[in-house]
Amino acid sequence: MLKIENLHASIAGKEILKGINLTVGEGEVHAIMGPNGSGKSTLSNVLVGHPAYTVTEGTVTFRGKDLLGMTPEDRSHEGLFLSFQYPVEIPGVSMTTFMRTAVNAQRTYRGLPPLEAADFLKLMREKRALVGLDSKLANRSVNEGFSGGEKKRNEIYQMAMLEPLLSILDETDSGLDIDALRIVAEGVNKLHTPQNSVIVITHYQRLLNYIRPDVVHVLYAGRIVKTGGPELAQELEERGYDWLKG
Amino acid sequence: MDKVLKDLGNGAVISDVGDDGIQIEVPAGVKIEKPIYLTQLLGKKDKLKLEQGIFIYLREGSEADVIITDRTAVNRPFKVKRDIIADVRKDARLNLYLLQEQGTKSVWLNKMDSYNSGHLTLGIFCLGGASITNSLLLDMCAEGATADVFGMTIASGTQQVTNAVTVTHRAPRCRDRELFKQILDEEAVGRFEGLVQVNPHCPGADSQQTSRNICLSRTARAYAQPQLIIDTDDVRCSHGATVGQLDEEALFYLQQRGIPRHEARLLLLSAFLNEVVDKVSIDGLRERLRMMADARLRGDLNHCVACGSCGTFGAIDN
Repeated sequence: MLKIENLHASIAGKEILKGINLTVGEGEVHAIMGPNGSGKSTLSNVLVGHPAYTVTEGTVTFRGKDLLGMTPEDRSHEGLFLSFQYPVEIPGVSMTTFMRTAVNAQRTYRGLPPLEAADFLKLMREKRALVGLDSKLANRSVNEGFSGGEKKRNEIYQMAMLEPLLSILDETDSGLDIDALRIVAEGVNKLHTPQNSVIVITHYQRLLNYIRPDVVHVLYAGRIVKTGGPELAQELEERGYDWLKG
Repeated sequence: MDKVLKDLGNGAVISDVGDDGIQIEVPAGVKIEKPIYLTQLLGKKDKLKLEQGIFIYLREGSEADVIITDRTAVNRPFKVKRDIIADVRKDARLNLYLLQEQGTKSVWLNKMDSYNSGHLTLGIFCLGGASITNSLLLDMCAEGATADVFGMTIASGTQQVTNAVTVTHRAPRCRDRELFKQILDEEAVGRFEGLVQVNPHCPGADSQQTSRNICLSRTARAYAQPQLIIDTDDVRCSHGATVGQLDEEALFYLQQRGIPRHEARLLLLSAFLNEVVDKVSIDGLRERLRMMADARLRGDLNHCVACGSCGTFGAIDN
């Protein structure tokens, strides 16, 4: 599904990623953990093509295609989704307009006709129910006035609407209380199939109690310094990150 | 001798008062249900220099919606100077909208004097012209009068648009709001010159001026000058202005969801204008303004007649 080789990336001239190697297979759930400033968010931003970051070396292939040569929107159409750490508020753009434009842009890319209004509304209702998003929120402007938990749930709702093949959850647990965390994680689990993959980026182990990873990586100072099974997350929780720094 | 152009019923009439002057008069207590459209489409046979007048008299407790639209069927250097007088008496309600969609060579000056003892809504939508100036003097003449003034400007090329709004509180406890939004591209210049003056002995004045601007190019210029002169204690007057670019983080968020960059830009620009368009109380007009703004942003305004002579603008979307 995703193959990252020797990826180097910088922001404003400062190198953050210093040679990442990572392969994610179909249907797999990977967790990327690491202390603040290790490059976790940089990695997710680089994968989705954020213009502030520059790739200086390395390759990324997504389903056999060169990901780094694509525009952000084409990466999305190919099936890549980022649940943002800080979802942006967009006053004046309704959730309905936003989602209809996004879904139809994806359909156009895939050679499908746009959804009829009735079919689209039905789809919205189904997905809203699936992730438990309040219908009041679905009628408002994108993320405007949403609480932290509502914003994260809205990210998962968008994920449900777009049915990505690879979802990157960037610190989806940050700012969530335990109930909101459980609801968001349940949403992710409901959407997981043997065909689609997930990369969970997190600082703490607690999210991984709800979203069970197959593989756990530790990112430190721009490199993956350790890879293991789910037990690695537990070990990090108990021992911290210091023992890996040497 | 005035010539009646249209009888609106119950003594309300639209008349030709000579010298390119049109008068709308609505007697006390009469409510005109349907909007009054004054549409000017300048063509080949029209003079290049025109001086005009539009006089609106709304007597006590009357109500009317008036929509003044300016368009050009040929792209010639028309120069139009127009005086608008609006006399809105106690408890009367005037909703006045100016739609400006002229060709790229037109120079327009609208000078408006308003004596408002009732409730005035004034919407100004500037999408065309080489140079458009709307100079508005709004006098708040009786206690409790209100004025809700708003406008949107979309300008590109070398267009120059100025909205100068002076509101004078001459009576206690009047309320006014000004909200102007501008999207400026290429070398366009957009100005908001606001002045709210509260005369002595006018306590309880409630005023708010807001100017919001997006410059899409380095060479576009937005000038925002909201000013206050206050000669009474116990008033609530505020003003604010911002000039910025499109929010890059919002653009990226939309792109990540698969919305192509140019579509994302249009979504954000339309969203920016929505706050102004939503203030229009006439449903059909609101929809038309949304379509006009969208067409203007996409660069296909005036393509409707496909005659190629009306003067078109390039796309704002780039």
